[in-house]
This record gives sequence, C-alpha cells and structure tokens, in this order.
Amino acid sequence: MTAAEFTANDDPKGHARTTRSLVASFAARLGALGYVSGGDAIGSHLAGIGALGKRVSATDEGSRLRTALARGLAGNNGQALWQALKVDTWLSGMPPSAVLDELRNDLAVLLAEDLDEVLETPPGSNAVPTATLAPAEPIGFLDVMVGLWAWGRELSTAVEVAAGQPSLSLGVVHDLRVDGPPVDGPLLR
Amino acid sequence: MVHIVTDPPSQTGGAAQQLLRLQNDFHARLAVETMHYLRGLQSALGPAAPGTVLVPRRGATLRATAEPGTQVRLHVEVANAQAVHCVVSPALSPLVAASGVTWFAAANVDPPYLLIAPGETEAAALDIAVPAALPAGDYRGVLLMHGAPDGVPVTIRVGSTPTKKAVATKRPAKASAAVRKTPGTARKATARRPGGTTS
Repeated sequence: MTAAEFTANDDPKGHARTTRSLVASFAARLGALGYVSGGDAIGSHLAGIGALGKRVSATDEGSRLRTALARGLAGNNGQALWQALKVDTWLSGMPPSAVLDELRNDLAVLLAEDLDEVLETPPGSNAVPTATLAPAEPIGFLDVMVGLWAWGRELSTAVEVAAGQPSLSLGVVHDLRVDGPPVDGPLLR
Repeated sequence: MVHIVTDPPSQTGGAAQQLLRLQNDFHARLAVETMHYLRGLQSALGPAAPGTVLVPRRGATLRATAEPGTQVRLHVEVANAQAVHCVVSPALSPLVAASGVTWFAAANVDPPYLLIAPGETEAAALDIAVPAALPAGDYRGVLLMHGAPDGVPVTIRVGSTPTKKAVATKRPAKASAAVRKTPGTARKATARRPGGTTS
C-alpha cells in the first residue's frame, strides 16, 4: 500500500486545540515569565530546541545535517566550547519546552476566524492551563544545532503563511492571501 | 569592638577544625539540594501547549516495489478533526536493508508543509529516487511526523534489474542519493531514469 491516511485529533490526555485554549496557553506562557528566571526561561526553550533536534536527527535530512556538522570544524569547536562551559550540563537539567507545538499553536491563533470573539468574551474560569512538563533529557550541541535548523525553517514558513506569501519552493497548500490596503494610498506617497 | 580570638595555626589541626569543615560542607550541600528541589517543584508544571495527535485511518504500513534507477511515490493524507488549523510536515528516515546497506533516500515531499484548515483534508506525495547502484533488498524505515510518535513503517522492495524504460514524472526528485554500506565509506549514486513501479 503506497498511501497512508491520518486524522489529526486533539490529544486525549491534554487540552483540546481551540482558539480559546490556544489564547490561554499563550497568556500562560507570558505569565510564567514573571515567575521564572531569565536563565530558566532561555534554558527551557533551548532544551526544547535540542529535544526537537534529537527527533529531527532521526530523519534523512536531519541525519545528514548532523553528520556533516559532527565531521566539520564548527561541530567540533561547538562541542568543545559547550563542554568547557558546561552548557550541555545546564541544558540537560532543564525541562524542555514544547517549542514546535507552541509555534504551530501561535500560527493557528493568527489564522483563527473567531479570535475577536474569544478576546471579547472573558474565559469561563480563571484557571491557568497547565501541564506536566516533559522530563529533562541529555541535550548536546549537535541536538541544539539541528533543532535550531528545523525550528528556524518552520518559523520562516509560518511567518510566510501568516503573511499570505507562502514560499513557492515549499508549495504550501493553502492560499490565504487577502487584499491589503491600496499601495498608492496617501501614507505611501 | 569584639575581637574573636582563634587558636594559633599550630593548634587548629585537630578534630574541631575537621568538624567545622564538615559542617560547612553539609550546609553548602544542603543549600544546593534545596535549590535543586525547589527548581524541580517549580518546573513540575508549566503552561500547557495543546498538541495534535495523528491517528492512522488506513495504511498502517507503507509498501512499494521499485527497480534501481526508477522512482517511488508514496502518499500521505491527513484530515483535520480539530477546531483550529493544524500543520503536518512528513519526513522520511534513512532506510536500512537486512544486509546492512543504509539508504539515505533524499525523499522529495510535495508539499513539505501541510497547513490544514479545520474539517479539511490535504495530501502530500513523497517522491523517492532509487539509485541505480542500490543493491537489491527490502529497505525498511519510518515516515516521521510530529504527532505520530512511532511514525509509519515504510518498506521499499528494490529489485536487482535496472529498468530501461524511463517514465517522466511531474516533479523529479533530487538526482543523487547517498548509499552507505556499514561498515564502509559513502559513495554517490545517480538516478538518471526517474519513474518506476509501485504497489
């Protein structure tokens, strides 16, 4: 069989993906910044990037990139620098953020048609949506490098899609372009 | 002013100094462990990031048959049952034969980034060029997607006879793919005749 079919469902163990829950998740992320140190916030984000890099390293593209990095001077210098400054030890003790889910959720909020309605109506409760964080895992320099590559590529695509200008090379399925303001308006003269 | 008189160095090498050092070490260790514990409590819970789970409806395993020098096409279709847009970006793992040959297949995913509106269904095609020099065998790997932790098993059976008939495709995949036999060195193979058979 050369075709596989899937259904994208909500995680039965987590929160459903609705505009309201995604807005609440975004607000909770912002609110959490007031309770953690900058080092913890950055560390958790970088650990999430590294965890993503580990998963991407299992793919064909990711494994090629990782192998090329490991063979080159940059990869060797990066690993030496991280070991000397114990960056890998620091990141390996941080709970990794779900960076890819967060990015895709933020894009979904930007594309939601009921966002105005959600922002105007107060939430039913003041409970902050929380979840058990993923346990810390060993994170190395190459994990973070591959993760940055994958996350950066996803980020640039998401911004292009949000702007209604998906890259032709990517061939994004949806055409979300809408008519913008006239380019010959008075402010542009 | 209070002067604290300490014993001269000659008289401080005894059990009292060792006890003080042990006490200092204990308090330092206690502080470190307490901070570690508090940080663990703080990081036990965090903001929820609702995610997407991809549940297979059909085609729990992808199988195809091809000859060296041809091309294989696999399809992935995803229906969005969520209330907001979801994103799917399939990627293929390296394929490995029982003989130990590892095939870095360089799959061309079209489109590589599926943005699916609520209630809609989208599909992507994976074009995989089979190198002409690829040894025959069953190559196994996984189609990986975020939301499907185990991925979809992929098996491509490669025959031993190169196909002479070339079949034009809409968008040929990259012409080269690395083939590595473990242990050994990598070598390049060129797929000059895109097209082929799938099952």
